[in-house]
Amino acid sequence: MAIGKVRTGLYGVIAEFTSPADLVTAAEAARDAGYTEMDAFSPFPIHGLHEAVGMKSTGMSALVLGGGIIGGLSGFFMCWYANVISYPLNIGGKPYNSWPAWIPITFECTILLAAFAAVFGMLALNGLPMPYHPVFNVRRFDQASRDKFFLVIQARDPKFDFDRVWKFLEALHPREVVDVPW
Amino acid sequence: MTPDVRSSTPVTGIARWRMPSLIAGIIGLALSIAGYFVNPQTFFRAYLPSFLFWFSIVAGSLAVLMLQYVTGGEWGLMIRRPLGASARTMMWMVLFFIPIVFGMKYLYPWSDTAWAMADENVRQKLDWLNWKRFLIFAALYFALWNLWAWRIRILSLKFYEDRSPFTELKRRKWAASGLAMIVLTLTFASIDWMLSTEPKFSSTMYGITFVVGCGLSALAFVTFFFAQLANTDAMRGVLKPNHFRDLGNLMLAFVMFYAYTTFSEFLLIWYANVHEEIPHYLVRNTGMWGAVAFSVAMFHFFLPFGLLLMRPIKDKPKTIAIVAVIVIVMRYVVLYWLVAPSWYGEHFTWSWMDLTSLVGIGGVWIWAFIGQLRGQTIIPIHETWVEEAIREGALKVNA
Repeated sequence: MAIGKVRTGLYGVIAEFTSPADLVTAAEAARDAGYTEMDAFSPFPIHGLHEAVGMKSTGMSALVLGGGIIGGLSGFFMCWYANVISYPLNIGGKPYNSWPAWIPITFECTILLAAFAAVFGMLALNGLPMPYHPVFNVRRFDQASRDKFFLVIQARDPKFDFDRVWKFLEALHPREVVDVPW
Repeated sequence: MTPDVRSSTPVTGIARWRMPSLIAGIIGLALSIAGYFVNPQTFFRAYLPSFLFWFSIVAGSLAVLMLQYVTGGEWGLMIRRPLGASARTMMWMVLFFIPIVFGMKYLYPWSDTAWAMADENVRQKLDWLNWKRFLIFAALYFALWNLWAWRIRILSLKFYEDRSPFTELKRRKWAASGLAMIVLTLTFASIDWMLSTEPKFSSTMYGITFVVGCGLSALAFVTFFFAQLANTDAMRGVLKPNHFRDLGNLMLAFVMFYAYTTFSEFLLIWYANVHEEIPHYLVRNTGMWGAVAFSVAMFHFFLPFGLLLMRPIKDKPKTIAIVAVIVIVMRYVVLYWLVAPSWYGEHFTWSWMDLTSLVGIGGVWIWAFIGQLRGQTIIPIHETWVEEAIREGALKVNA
């Protein structure tokens, strides 16, 4: 039994390169040719690849900031509510709302929720966990975690035309070009 | 003469600021000396915070420089030269310290032995708070700081000639031991020079707060300095957004660290509410001093913290220079706020002599700083990894 939609047809066309520089050059060429829906795979982070495949800011920083603000406010509110409303207690003659004493808790809650937003936001925005991905259908794709570099142009790209994409990738001197089924 | 002087290399043109700052400094000092004859007490009480402000940049430069030699990293490779030049001006700080020695009776209440003996709390501290120990320790601090600043300089020059990894290792060992040395000496120096203006008060967080503040002063100064260089023809294209982002991130870390130590200090003393300690904050929280305390929270922490979270602000020399200026100004404000209420109590005081001594010491110091930088390239082109740090663009730009 399949969970979710079972797709058929073509996911995209993938090209395998032997060096990181080739991959960056290829991604830049694809971007300059007007392709927008593409992805690159490499065994390690490559400087400049993000820009080359046209990755935009993901909104991750706004998410973490939001988590931090909510954490800080709720931490402070929790202390204030407990000490001023729920169970007012005279400690050392200090006012009930002794805010400096709430700061460590406020700080910790800020960090906690910001960290949660960072970890779970990262997973959500990456679409993880992802047990299946069409590129796994490519026979040699496990090389992407060893010493080979892949660039895939997806079929949902508005400029996608199978023959033209194939020829375009061939012209970039890859090791090989393969089609990727869903 | 350093080995990397090239007659045909471009220059940044900062040398032209040398004379104007020296003239400003001499005028400032002359007016301060005139102030001494008007009112010696006001003169000394204005001089100490101004001295501490410029000293914090110099001491912080030495600390951050040694930190960089221990940890390595691109961020510090770029700022080694200005940090080193600033650290070597420590010999000028010895000179600037001399007036404080003569003004001890106006600055440190414990130097009045009769007063000190009358108070049980202070009387028990007199083994530490006496002028002999004060002077011997001050001499010791300055000797150690100057020794390390110059020892590291000499090893760097040796490394440029022999390119030996053993020289580099030796320099790193000096830097590592120097970090332990400077944290300890600055802790005691801050207790001697600042905290003892209020002999009844004691705080275990005082020293580390001052050390972190020194690091922040130095980073803000170097960031401002580099932001100005980024606009010169010679350095355009060399200093990249990622360099300023690194400096901005580091400044952010120090802004947070300072807020952390200073708030922890306040929280514990406020909560304990002990008779000997709490007046320190009661005075500094009253009237105008309270307004100053509020401005410290706002402009020494919240504003730079918020601004330095934003990448577009860190990446541009123009905007990060504004943040650096805010931090530098607040460094003086916070040092004044820590020291001056010890003498003036609840009455907020800031005289024209504060301004003249600030300009006086600063002008001469900037002159000395540029003098130390002169004849070198801004980027330490002989260091390992320097090409990775620059990637492209002209390396050789003379100060």
